[in-house]
Amino acid sequence: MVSRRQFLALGGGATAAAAAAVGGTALWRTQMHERVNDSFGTDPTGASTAMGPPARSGRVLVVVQLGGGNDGLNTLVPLGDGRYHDNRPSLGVAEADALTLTGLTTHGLHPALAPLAGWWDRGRLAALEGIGLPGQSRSHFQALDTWWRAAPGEAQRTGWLGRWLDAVGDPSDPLRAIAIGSGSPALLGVEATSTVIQDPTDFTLRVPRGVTADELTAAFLATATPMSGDSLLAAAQQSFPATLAAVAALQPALSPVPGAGGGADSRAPADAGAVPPDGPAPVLAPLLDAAARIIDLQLGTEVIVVSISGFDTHANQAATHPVLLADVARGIDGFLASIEAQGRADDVVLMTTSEFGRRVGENGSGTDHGQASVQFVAGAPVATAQVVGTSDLGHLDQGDLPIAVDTRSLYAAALDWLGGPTDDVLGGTYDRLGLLRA
Amino acid sequence: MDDRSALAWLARRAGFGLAPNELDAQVVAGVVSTLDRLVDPDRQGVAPAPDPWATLDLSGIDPRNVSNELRGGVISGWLGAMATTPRPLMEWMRWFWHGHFVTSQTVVHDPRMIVTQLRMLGDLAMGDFRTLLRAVTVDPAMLVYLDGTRNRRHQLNENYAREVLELFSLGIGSFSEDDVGSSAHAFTGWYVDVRTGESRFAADRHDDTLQQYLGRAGVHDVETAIDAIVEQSACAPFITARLARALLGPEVDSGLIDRLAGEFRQSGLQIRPLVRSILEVGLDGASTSMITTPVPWAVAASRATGFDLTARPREVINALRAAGQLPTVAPNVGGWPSGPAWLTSSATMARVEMSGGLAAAAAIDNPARVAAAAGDLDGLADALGRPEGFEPATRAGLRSLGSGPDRSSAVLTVALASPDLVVV
Repeated sequence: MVSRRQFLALGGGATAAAAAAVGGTALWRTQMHERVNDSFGTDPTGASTAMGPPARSGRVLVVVQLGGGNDGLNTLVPLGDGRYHDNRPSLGVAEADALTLTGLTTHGLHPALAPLAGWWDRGRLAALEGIGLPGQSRSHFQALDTWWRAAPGEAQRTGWLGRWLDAVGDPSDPLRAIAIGSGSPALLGVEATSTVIQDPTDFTLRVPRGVTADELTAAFLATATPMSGDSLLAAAQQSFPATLAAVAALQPALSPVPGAGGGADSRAPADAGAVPPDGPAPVLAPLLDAAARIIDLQLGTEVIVVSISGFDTHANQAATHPVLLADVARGIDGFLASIEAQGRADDVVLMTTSEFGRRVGENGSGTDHGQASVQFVAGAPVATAQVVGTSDLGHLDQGDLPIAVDTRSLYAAALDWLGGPTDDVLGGTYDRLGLLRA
Repeated sequence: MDDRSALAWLARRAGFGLAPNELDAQVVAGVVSTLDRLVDPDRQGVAPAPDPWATLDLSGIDPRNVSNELRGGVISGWLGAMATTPRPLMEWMRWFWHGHFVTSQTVVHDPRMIVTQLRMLGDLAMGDFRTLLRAVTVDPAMLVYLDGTRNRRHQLNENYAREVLELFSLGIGSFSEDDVGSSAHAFTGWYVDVRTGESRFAADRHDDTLQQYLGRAGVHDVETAIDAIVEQSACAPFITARLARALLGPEVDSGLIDRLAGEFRQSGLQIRPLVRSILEVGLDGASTSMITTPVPWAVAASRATGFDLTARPREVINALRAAGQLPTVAPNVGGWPSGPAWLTSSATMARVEMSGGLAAAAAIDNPARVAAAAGDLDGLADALGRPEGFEPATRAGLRSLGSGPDRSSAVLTVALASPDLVVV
């Protein structure tokens, strides 16, 4: 349909091209900032008044969203509790099959999570059990909204990460926050912008025949000024400079890796894509691999949200859930190994989120929507391998595990680690639970 | 709005854009006549719309082994119909309900069920909402997608019971958790015959126990449950708001929605008069700015440039997938997002790339290309369904590319991807 020649004349991943791209991005970012200030009538010389203090440099928080509501009870399995097997006669993980973790007698991992066990043994994996927000809904969309906003009962239309981006550093920098797989409402701020990479294997602009990249770029940039008084038109105008900047900056990390499939690239984790020959294609691993390569570019990215879906296991859970968990474990394992190979282990924390856990009792072949669930925190900054919280199978709330740990404790630990501010962003003070080292 | 702008608005919002010279013919016919033909094509003697899947061979399917060509054929057939139908609003309504009553080929692997559902949505799109909601509830694709087939006496599965209230009829806050549980009982017993792809009812799987549901006693099956839902005061405002925002933009006045919802309820939830009222107030100035989504954008862009969306199905499908909106493959039960989600880097890149492809493929005598080559920016805007012209910034960007036959592809690329065609 169109030539494969790249829109912006940046060769695939060469160091010089990467440097040029970053330079070009800085130029575009400056232009954008001026336009935004001009259009909203703020002091064009006072851009810094809109910025908070600079962020703590180099640290990156990676959030992995397991869309659909992951079944926490079959993720971190209670051991020696007959009530678990009473409620899960066909779906329960047999005691003998659960993976035991060093020093932990109360729980085991679902066997599909085997790649995570080594990180626990190294003290780089912790779990939160019974996590959720008080009063959260069994509706996907309301529960998601509650988790993203982390401000229940308030008319707050911003996300917890968006509010942090607004408070610290330059909120107009679209590379500070990156969403991979799909956009994330958690990144919505008043001013904060982010870059969405739906498919990291295809983040390239291609130029049609008969046009040069430069003239197309110039024409598209020209369509962005002057900005329309219509806010949606203005937003559409701004999508061009933001996109061109993002492509220029991120392409070195997102170009198809030469010889991909052979695993020849040194940046790739050693066992990336190591799936059983007949197994399903990995879903999370390529997204987290892109995240690792973006972190390696050191563009000032501080927050990455990676979204996958399919965890809404109302039916056929015995077949689908182990596949989902295996995908998650392989992805996280490969990512942590990549980050370690970059020498950035102390700079990166990964955590999982999911809108809710599932009903304790099974429904015949699956589980319906519930409340509390299990989430993980991983990386070298994890204080110690531990399970925080509880899941009390003796005191169910309408058939659901009751909420024992407030999600905002996990968020507070992560924001503290990023350098804060924390309590202002979350609208209250929450126990950090000793999850992360300072 | 003058008539030409009013008709272009109708084509953008209540259809899939315009073929070359179509707007001229509509101006001759007039706004009233064009609206009548859109809203009530049977009564106006408009030619019947061919079935989008008439040439798709769905016989002898093995649902466990469906080819990508067949899955893609379901999509291509529909895209082709969006572009060529003599009844664009009817096709738009099918598209609207598809985004409302979501199912997906990622879960429903039998394309016969997807086609059955899309035909049903088209047939019932403008009738009464109760009939539509009842048909959706026992539709094979929906029974598979939201696990109705797994919902049996003593093995209740709440998936459909929740979403039918939250997403399809009333909205969050208008029902309780108990209502979810009790309607799960009422919906039991339906399943899909995998050989034929048709839905069936098995009395021995059905729980006929009388339930208290949405404040009504004695609910025990699909009929009584659907009756209880459509009697709720929240139903008319919920559906009206969905339709009004899709046609008039997200900022449409809430008082107006209340008024339209009152009429909708009075009419016994008749969809056709509601759609007519919404379009009439839109033409009368109630329309607000709106970001379009990749499918209507791509169909409109292809029509204006004369590109046949069915000719290279694999490329078209890959492009729409990259843009984030492939018909019959919605991301989740909530459907596709609206608004600024379509201004992300990934969506913008996909739009620019599709624009380049469509511009390159436009024939030498295509009116949009002719105007681009001539540097006639007003003519170009009109050919792309924007008779009111481009924004000043867009004009400047297009001007920077110059004119002449050798520049026409570049000009057309930027024009198609421009903010003016994204904000409709």
